[in-house]
Amino acid sequence: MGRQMETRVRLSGDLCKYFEEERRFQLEPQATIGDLLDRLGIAEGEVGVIALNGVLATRSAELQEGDEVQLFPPIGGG
Amino acid sequence: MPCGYAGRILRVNLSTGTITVEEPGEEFYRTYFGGSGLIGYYLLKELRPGVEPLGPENKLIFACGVNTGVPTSGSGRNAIGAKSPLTGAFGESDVGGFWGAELKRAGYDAVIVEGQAAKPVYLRVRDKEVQVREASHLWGTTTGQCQEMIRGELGEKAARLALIGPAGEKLVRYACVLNGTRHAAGRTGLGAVMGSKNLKAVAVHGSRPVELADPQGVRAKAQWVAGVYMQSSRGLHDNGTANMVPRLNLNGALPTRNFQHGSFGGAEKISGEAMTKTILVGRTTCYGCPIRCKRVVEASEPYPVDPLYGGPQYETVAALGSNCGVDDLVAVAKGNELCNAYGLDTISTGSCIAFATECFENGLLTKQDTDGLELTFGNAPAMLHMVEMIAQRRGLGRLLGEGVMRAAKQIGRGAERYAMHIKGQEVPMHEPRLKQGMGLGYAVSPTGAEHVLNIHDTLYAQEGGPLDRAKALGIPGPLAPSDLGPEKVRLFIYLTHWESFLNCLGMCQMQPYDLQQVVEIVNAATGWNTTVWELLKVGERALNLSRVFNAREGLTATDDYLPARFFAPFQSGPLAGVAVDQARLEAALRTYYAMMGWDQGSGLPTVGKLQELGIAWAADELSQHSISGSNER
Repeated sequence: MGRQMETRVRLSGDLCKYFEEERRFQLEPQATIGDLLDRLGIAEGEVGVIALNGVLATRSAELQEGDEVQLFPPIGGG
Repeated sequence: MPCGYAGRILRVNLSTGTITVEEPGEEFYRTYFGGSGLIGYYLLKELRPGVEPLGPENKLIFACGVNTGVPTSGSGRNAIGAKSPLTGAFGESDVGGFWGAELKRAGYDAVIVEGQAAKPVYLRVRDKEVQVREASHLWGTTTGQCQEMIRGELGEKAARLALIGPAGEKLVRYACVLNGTRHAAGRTGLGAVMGSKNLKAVAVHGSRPVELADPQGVRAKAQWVAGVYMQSSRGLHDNGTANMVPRLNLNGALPTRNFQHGSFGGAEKISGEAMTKTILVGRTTCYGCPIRCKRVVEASEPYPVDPLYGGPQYETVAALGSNCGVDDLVAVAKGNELCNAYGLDTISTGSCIAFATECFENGLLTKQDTDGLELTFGNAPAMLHMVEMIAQRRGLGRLLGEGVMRAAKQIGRGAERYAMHIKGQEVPMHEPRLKQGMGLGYAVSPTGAEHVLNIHDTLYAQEGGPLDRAKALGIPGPLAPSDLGPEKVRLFIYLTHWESFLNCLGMCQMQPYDLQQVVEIVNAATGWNTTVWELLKVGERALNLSRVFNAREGLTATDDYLPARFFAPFQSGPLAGVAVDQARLEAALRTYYAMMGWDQGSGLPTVGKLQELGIAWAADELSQHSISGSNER
């Protein structure tokens, strides 16, 4: 087993029903955001916008040690 | 005995002092439902074309829906309508709070206000007792002051008021009506219509619960929402609609500096989360709703902000914040307070200030015009100063109070480039270069640029709750926000038919109900046997009434457009290079007209369509005034 890397995850909006505070996850090297989402068990449609270190990202983005991922619901109205 | 609806419409003529009550009968309510549909019916039937919106011939209609006041979540809304002084077209705004439910409890579905009082007055409705009362002593008061004074002099601490502030009295073209001090019927300038009639407030006290056909059925829906809302609507509860700011910013779609940009450096400082961490002191709500999406904020530095006026939601945060380049949340909250106290639409107010700011930065306005004010993007004190000037119609505020369309015409020298409006109404805080269907909706909305009777494309781009509702209407799968083909137009039409129906029903769009649950609520309230089909037709009917009204006022297909700025791509950011394609929009417009059963060239409802909707009389209105749709796209 390769050395695992730590990723910080924050949820926003309706996603906070999964957890409220920032959490840290240990992932395999070269894991993607998609791998992280599978690990979190959040249903596909519930995540609308992904930010990796404050920049818009997609599920296929590869993670590195110390990255911060923020997950948002889809953009709606108001 | 009517259930759900009251069966009675109050009519008050302020010129003659006549007060009458009409009972249109069950078929009327089942056809028009109330709200938007009722307003369309009466404006089309009773106004002649060409009335002056700020004159005595205009009619101001406060309309509950069949569901308003029914004791379940989302039942707190009413519509207000008139011919708009901002657009010269169909004017309507929908608002929450508690006033609509109180009117229904008093035994009325709607109030039609006609004529013009000789001096300031307010209307008092206490169950069957209706009076026109002196209001000269209230003229010039803020909404907060007026509410307190009226409740005091009536001895009714619980009276609910629909009222205007000084901006409506001074006929600012986008002055609004408020339910209380925190819920605004913001758009289309209905506050100015109310002010032109010398009507300061409608104070209501109602003591009878709404009659229900199946109270247990209604109660079951209320209990269901109470059990699920923290799963379905957590974001709204926790951080209000401004919870959207960070993710809009990430996508390059947060209106910034008059729609010049889509990303704003100060976005994190003005988000709903930032509000919760700093100035939020409470969460409040509308009649019957547990979600509590409304904000209550308080501050003292650098500006005192009174929690009486609630707190800013997304539109206000963007309109007075990012779109003015302002990243000071307390300043945005202060602006919200001023708009609610003076009775100004926050969207139009912010847009007028952003317009003036861009004019100033480009030398079309100078310090001479601004009385020495450095009106630049990001200057928060200047933004607040302009809110005051507009509300009081002083200095540059006199011109800006006319709206960006008229102000740009007056300023000239290319100022039109900076005037973000459609049909004269300022564009709300949603970016059509991201949400292409929203752009179509802006172009065709009967009230001018409008974001609620519209599609938020991003909600239908993936699996989830909103797409499930669309699937129940026969839309097979997700569509990209950038899609503007026939599939997107079809989705837009089905959604806006339903949203239009909700505006007739008096129900809030932010509820977690699916379509069938809404059907069940209507049937439980009224005892009817309605279906999704019938209810969609109610929404479609209301859209056709407003379209016919506008055609009769001289609007044509050429009035369905977008401001030129949206056809220019962003230069940078996540949406760099992305614009609305004009040819694609034109094609979408023709597809929209065709799918609506309207003439594809003129956008005019056909006689066959109006007959199918059971409103053949509306076709007579068109032929009587020789409207034949000769002005084509």
